[in-house]
Amino acid sequence: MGAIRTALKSRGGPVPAMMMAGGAVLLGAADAPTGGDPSIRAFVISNFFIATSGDAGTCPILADGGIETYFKMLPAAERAKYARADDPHEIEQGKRGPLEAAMNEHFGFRRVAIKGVGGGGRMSEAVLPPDLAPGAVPTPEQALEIGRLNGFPPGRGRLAFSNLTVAYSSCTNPEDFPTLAKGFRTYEGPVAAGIDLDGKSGRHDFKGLDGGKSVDNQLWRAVGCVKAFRESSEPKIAKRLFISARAPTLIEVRGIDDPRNDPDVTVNVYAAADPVVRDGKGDALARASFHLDPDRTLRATTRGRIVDGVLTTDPIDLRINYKEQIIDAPREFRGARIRAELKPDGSVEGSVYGYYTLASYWSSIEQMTQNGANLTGVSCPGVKQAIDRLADGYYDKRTRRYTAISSAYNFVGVRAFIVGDREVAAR
Amino acid sequence: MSKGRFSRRGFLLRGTLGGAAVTLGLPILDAFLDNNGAAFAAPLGGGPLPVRFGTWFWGCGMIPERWQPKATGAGYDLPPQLAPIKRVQQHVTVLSGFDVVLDGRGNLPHISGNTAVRTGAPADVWTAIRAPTLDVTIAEAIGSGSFFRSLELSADGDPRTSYSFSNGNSLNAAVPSPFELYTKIFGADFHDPNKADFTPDPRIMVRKSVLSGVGEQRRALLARLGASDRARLDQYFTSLRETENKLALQLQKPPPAEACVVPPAPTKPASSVDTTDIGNRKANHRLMAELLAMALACNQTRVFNFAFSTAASDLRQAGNTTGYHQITHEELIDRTIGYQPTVDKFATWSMEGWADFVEVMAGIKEGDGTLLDNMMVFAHSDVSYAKNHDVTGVPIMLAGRAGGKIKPGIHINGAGEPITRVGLTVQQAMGLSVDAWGLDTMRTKRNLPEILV
Amino acid sequence: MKPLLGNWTLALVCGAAALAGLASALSVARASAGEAANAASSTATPMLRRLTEAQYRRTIADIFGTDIKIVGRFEPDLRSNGLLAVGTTAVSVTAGGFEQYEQMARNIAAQVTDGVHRDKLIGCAPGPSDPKGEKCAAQALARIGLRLYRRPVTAPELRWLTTSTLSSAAQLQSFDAGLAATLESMLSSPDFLFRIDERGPGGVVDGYSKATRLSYLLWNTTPDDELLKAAGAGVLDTPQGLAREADRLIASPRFAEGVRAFFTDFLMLDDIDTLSKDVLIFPTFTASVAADAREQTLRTIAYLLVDRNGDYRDLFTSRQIAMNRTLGPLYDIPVEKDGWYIHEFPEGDPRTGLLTQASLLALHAHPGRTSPTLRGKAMREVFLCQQIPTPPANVNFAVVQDVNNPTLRTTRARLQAHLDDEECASCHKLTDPIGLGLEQFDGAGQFRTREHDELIDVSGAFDKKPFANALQLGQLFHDDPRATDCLVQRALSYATGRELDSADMPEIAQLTRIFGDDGHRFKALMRAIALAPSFYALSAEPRSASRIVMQKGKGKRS
Repeated sequence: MGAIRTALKSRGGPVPAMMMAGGAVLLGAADAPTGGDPSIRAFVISNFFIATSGDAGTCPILADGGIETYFKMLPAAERAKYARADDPHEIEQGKRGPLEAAMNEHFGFRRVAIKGVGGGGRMSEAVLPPDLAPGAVPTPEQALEIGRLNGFPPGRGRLAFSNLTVAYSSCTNPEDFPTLAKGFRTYEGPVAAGIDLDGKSGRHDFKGLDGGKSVDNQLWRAVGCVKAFRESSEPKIAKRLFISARAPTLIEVRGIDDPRNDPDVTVNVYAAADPVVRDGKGDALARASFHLDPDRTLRATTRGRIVDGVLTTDPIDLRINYKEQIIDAPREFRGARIRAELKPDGSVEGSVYGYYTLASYWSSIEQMTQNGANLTGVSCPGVKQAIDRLADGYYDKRTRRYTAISSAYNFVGVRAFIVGDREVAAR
Repeated sequence: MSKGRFSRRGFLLRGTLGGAAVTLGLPILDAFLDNNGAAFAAPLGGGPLPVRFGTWFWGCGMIPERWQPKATGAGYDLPPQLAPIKRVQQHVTVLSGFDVVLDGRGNLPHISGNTAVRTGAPADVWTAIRAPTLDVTIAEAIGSGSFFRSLELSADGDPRTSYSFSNGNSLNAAVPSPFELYTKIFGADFHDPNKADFTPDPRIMVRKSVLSGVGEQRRALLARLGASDRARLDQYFTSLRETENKLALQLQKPPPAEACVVPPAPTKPASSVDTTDIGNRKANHRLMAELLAMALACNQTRVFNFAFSTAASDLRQAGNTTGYHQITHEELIDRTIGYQPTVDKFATWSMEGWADFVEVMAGIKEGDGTLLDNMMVFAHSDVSYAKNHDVTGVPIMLAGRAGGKIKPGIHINGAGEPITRVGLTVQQAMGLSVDAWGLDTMRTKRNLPEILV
Repeated sequence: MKPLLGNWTLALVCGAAALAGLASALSVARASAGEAANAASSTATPMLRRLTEAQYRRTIADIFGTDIKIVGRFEPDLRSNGLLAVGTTAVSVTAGGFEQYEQMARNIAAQVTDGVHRDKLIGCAPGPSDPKGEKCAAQALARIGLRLYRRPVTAPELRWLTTSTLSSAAQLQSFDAGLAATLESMLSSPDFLFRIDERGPGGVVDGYSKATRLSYLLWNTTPDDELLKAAGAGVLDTPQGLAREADRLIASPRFAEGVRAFFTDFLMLDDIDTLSKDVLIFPTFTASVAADAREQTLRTIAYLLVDRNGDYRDLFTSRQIAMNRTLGPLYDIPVEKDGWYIHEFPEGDPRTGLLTQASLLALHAHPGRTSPTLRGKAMREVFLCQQIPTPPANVNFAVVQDVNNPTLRTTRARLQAHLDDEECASCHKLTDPIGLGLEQFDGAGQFRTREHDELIDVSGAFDKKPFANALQLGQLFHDDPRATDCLVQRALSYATGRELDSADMPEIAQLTRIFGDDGHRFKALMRAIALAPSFYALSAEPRSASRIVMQKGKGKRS
C-alpha cells in the first residue's frame, strides 16, 4: 500500500490531502473533514451471533438442557413434583429452583465462593490455601487445591463465575456426567449457513442458504438444535441485541477508492476500548469514535475486495472479544473469511466463516456456569460431546484430535470512527 | 350522573409517561359536606360548595362541516369530529357559529382569534392585548380563599404554553409536567387537613410578617418611578400580597376531609420524552387532568387554565416529518371524501383529549353530584378552519353546571354573533357583576340566555 | 415542542403592502400597537429591569458561593424586539412567579445560615457582648445588603432589617432562623429582583447604578466588591475611572461570560431548552446533544471573539469550531480527545461558519424535517435585524399545490411550487433561498448530499448576489455591512434594555464607526458601549407612558 494520491475529493470540494505509505492520511494543518477520511470505512459491531439455518433448517426435536434431561430421568412420582399442572412433561417455571437444588444434590455439584460472595445454593466461605494472596485470582493448581480443601471429589475444582468461585459441575467437568447428554440432539437438516471452508465435498457438508454447495458448518450441526442459540439468532432479535457492548469489535476497511467496487482494500479487525452505546431510538449510535484496545492479540489484518458493495477477505486468524455479563471468552477463529455488505445508510451486515477453536468455544460454554446453563436450557456435556465429536479443522498430530470446528457467524454494525490507541490499558 | 370513578375513600391514580409510573392517592372531599351533600357542613359555615372555573385550549380548531352539529338545543347530533364526546355529551354544551369580528384589523394567524376569545378584542401580538384574559378577571373575583389564585397547566412540557395574561407583558406561566404539578399541589406547603390539632406554624407567621414588611418598606419606591415602571412595580406588590394571603390561609385550620390521604411522592420521570407525539400528549394530558381534579376537589384552587396543545398546534405523530399545523396548510382536500384526511384525524384526536378531560372531572364525586357539576370549563380553539386561519365560527364548548347556574348538553349556533357574547355569559355565570364585555365592535351587552338557568 | 416561531406557517402569502413593510435594518417607531406599547419615547434607559434567570443564578453564586443550590422554576423571561434583555424592562412578577421567587429565597436563606455556610457567609453570632445578636445582625445585613441591593443599605432600612431579625428570632427561638427570615425577605424584595436605578447628578444615574449596568453588561452578574468600592468612592463618575473599571472587567476571564450571555440572547439559544426532535427520524439528536450544540456555539464565539479577539464577521466564514465526543456523530467526524477542543475543518469543507452550526440549524427547523423558510427568516431577523412581514391569514393553497405531482422529492422542489405564485413569492424569495442554501443540513443539522436519493441543489441568490453553497452564503453574510450594523444595534439594545429609535441614530453611527475602525472586534464594541455617556443617561422627569392604558375588568385595582 504505498500509493500516494492527491486531491482526494470530499463532498464539499477538493481537500488537500495526501495518502501516505501505510494508509495514514495527512490532512494539512486541519483536522478531520466532514465524513472523515473518505478512503476509510470503519464499523463497530453491536452483535456477533451464530448464523442459523433459516426457515428451511428445522429441528424435529430440540436439544434438551441439562436440567431438562435430569427432569426426564426422574421416576414419575418424583417428576410430578416439579412438573406443570397442564403438561407433565414440562417443568413448572416456579419449580425450577427446587429442581436445580435437587439436581445439584443428586450429582454432587459443588461451588464455593472465594471472595465471600453471598447467595443461595452451596455458596459458603471457602477454606483457602495459605499460599493464595488475598484478592488474587487462583491458578488452576490452586483451584484444585481449593477443591481438595473443601471436599470436592479428588482432582476436581475449576474457577467459575468470573473467577469468584471454584466449582465442580457438569459444565466444569462434562466428562463426569455423560447422562446429562442423553437429551441432547444435534442438527441434521440439509441446509446450513456458511461456505466451503476445506475445498472438499464431504458427507458432512451442507447445502448453503443461497444454494451454495459443500458448506462446512459442523458447529451448527453440533448446537443448532439448542433453543437458546436458535432464538437469539433470529434476525429481528439479533439486530437489536447488543453483545459484548462494553468491549465491541471494530472492522476497518482502508484504501477504498470506490465503496461499491474496489479490487484491493486492507481490512483490519480491532478490539475497541470504548463501549458501543445506543442512540435515541435504541439502535447502536452511528459515527461514534472509538479508541483501540492496546492488546495486540486482539488485532488482525488481511486483504479484501469489494464487489457491488459486498466486501470479502482473504483467510485470517481472528481473536475477538466476547465479554458479556459473567463471560469473558475471546472467540478464536482460524482461517476465517469475512464477508460484509456495506449498506448505503452506512451500516454493515456480514458474516465470519472459519474454524472456531474448540478451546475458546468451550470456554464460553463453561463460563455460563451450571446455573447459567440451566437457565438457558443448555446441556454442557451434550455440547462438549458434540463439538468434540464433530470438530473438523486444524488437526493436532500430537493429541490426534481436531482442535477447531467449522462454523458460520453473522454480525451487524454501524459506521464508526477509529481514533487510535488509548494510553491506559483497556478496561 | 356521575360515571366512572366513585369512591368515598382515596383511590390510586396510576399514570405512565416515559416509562415512569406516577402513583398517587386521591384525597376525596367528603367529610365537610352536610347531609344533603349540597353545601358545606354547618360547623364549617354551611355555605354553598365552591364553583370553579377553568379554560381548556386546543390549537388548530376543526373542520366545520365535520364538527358542527346540525340540530340545535338538547340532544344535538354528533358529527364525526365530535364523536369522541359521546361518552360525556350530556355535560357538554357546544357553541358554534360565533365569530371573532376583525372589523378591518389584520388576521394574525393563530393570534387574532385567540386574543379575541380570551380578552374581548383581537390583538396582533399578545404583548398588545388591551385587557386581561377573562380567566384573570374571574380569578380576581373568586380566586382568593383558595391556596392558589389560579393554576396554569400545559401538557406539552413548555411553561410558556399559556394563554392567561394579566396584561401584555405578564404571562402566567404554566406548570408543564405531571411531576411538577404534583410537587406544586402536594409538596411541602400542603397541609394535611386530618392532623388532630392544628397550631399555626410560627415559621409561616414569620414569613408572612417579613413579606408584609417588604410591602410596606418599598412603597417609597413607587413615588420615584415613571408611570409604566410604577405599573410594573404595582403588579409585583400585588403578587407579593397574594403570597401573603396564601400564608394567611396556611395559618388557619383547614377543614377536615375524612378521606383526604396525603399521597406518596412520585418518582421523577425520565427526561426527553417527545411530547409533541399525539399519543404521549394524550397520556401526559390525562395524568395532569387527574392531578388537577384532585387539586380542585381539595380546594387548592378555583381557577385553572389548561392548554392541551399550543396555538397553531404543535401536535405530531412520532416518525412523521410533518406536523399537524403544517398539514392543515399543505394537505390537499381528498376529492373522494371532501376534506383533508390527516387534519381530520388530528382534530378528532384533540376532541378525544377534551372528552378525556370532561370524563376525569365528571369522575369525582362531590356532594350529591360530581366535581364537574360544581364547575364550568370553557374550552376553545384559536381558529375554526385552520387551513384559512378562519376566525369565524371559532369553536367553543362548555362543560359542567357551574353549581347549577348553567344548562349543559345543548347546542347553540351563533349565526355570526360576536363571540364576546359567550365570554360575557361565562363571566356572569361565575357571579361577576358585569353587564358588558369586549372592545370596539366586539363590545356586547347581550349574553346567551339559553345557557343560563 | 412547537416550532420556534410558533405562529408561522411554512408558506407565506404576502401582498405588495406587506412587502413595502419590510423594515430596514434600523427599526424605526412603528404603527403597530404592539410595538408602541413598549417603545420608549426618549433615549433614556429604563430604570427598572428584572433579573433574568441566568443573572439571578450567577448573582447568587457570586454573593454566596457556587455550592448554594437554587431550586425552583423561574418566571419565563420575555423576548421583546428580538432580545430577552429588552423584555427585562417590560416584565414584572406574576403571582405564580413570586411564589417561586419566595420559595427560592427561602431555600437560599436556609443554606446561607446553615452550619456549613454560616461561618463564612455570616461570620458572627450572638455572644456575651451582643446577647440578642443585634450587632451581629446589623453588621452581617449591612454587608450582605450592599451586595444584594447593589448599593449601600440605608440607615432606616438597616434598622428595620435588624429589628425584624430580632423579632423573627424571638418567634422562632433561633437567631439563625431569624436571620434567615430576613435574608428571605431581602431576596424577595424588588431591590434584589429588579435592577433599580438611582438618580445621580447631571442627568445620569448614580455611581452604584453605573456599577450595576457595567457589571451586568460585561459579566452578566452583580458588581464585585472592587467595583462596588469604586462606585462608593466616586471613581465611576469620572471618565478615566469609568474607563479603568471597564477595562478591568473586559480584561478579566469573566468577560467571556458576558459575551456568552449576549450571544445566547442575540442568537435565541435559550430556546434550545424546549427544543425536541423526533427521535425516530433523528436518533442521534438527543437532549444532551442539543445542550452540547448550544455550548459549542457559545464556546466557538468565546474562542474567536474573546480569546483571539477576532473580527466578528469571521464568525460567518471560520472553519474553527468547538467540538467534543458527544457531537462527533452529529458532525460525522472522528473525535479523539476527551472534553472540548477547537476543531478546524479543512478548506472547502461544508462546515464553515456560524450558519452551518448544528445549534442554529436545528433550532430553526421542525421536529421531523428542515424548514428553509424558518431558517431564512431567522438568518435575516437575527443577523441582519430585518423584519419579515407577517403573512395574511387567507392562504389558499389550491393555487400553489401542483396537483399533478404531489410527490416532490426534495424540499427545494416542494417549495418551488410556492415560488411560482407571485403573491407567495414576494415574501418567500426573501427567506427561502437562504434556507435552501442550507438544505444540505437536515432538520437536526446533520450533513447530507441527497434527499430521497436526489442530489440537493444548494445554490441560490441572496439579495441578488449568487452563491453556490453554504460556504459562499457565509461569505456573503461576512461581506454584508448590514450584519455589522445589526450587531451594533442589537448590542446597544441589549445594553440599554430598550428598543432603539431615531433619537439613537447618532449614537449608533458613532458606535458603528468605532467598531469598524477597530477591525470589528467585539471587545471594542462592548467597551465603546460601556463608556458611552448615553448608556448612563436618565431623563429629567419620569417617562410619560406612551402606550395605551390597560383596560381592567371589575375588580380592585391594587
